[in-house]
Amino acid sequence: MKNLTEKQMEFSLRIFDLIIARILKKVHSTLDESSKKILEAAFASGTEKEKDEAVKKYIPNFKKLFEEEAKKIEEEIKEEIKKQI
Amino acid sequence: MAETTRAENREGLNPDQVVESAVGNLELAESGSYFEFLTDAKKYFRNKYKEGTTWAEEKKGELKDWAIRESKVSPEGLKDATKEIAKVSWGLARISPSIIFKVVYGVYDFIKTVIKKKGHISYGEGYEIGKEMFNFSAKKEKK
Repeated sequence: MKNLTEKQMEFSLRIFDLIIARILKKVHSTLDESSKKILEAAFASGTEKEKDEAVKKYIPNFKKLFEEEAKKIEEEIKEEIKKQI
Repeated sequence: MAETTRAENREGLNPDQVVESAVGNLELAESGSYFEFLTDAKKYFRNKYKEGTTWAEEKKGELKDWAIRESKVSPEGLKDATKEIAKVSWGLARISPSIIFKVVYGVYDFIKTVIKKKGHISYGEGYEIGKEMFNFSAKKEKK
């Protein structure tokens, strides 16, 4: 991270947020109502441990999803760039 | 990254502004899929991400020290040790900093390539640009 400029660091966080939003959207759409409520409650008012456990339980393939979404978003950013240059 | 700056000066394009706009467009598209818990969830994952960044830096030092102590260690051994350390605690976001890092580099490298290419477009690309600007196809159809 030392080699990123301040602006690039800001982008890295925004890209990170985009990836997380997409993962959560994907996972949320596959859960049943009671699981959705548990996951939502964990993030809204759960302890750090409860959040960790909820993520482990409901997003067990986080790493894979993260890698997939990161690749997709990189391609989409490049497509957006192509439109501008 | 320094090369991008040179490209920027040469072509008058600011890569940061281009990325700003590109990321902004994706964020805008994503804003429609808002969940109430997303804000809380993002905070949680952002903290993990920051922890991950710090953790990776710290472990890098530990690994280096360990490798120095065990001077006979092979590169494979070092790789295995990295895996072992990753197993010690839940590595949820511990992998993400490196992935994001690659994405940011990938995007800036892409801009650099596109900017360079801008001055050396192929016949096909030139035709497509001309088609857009002067509407070749429409003229051809009129004939």
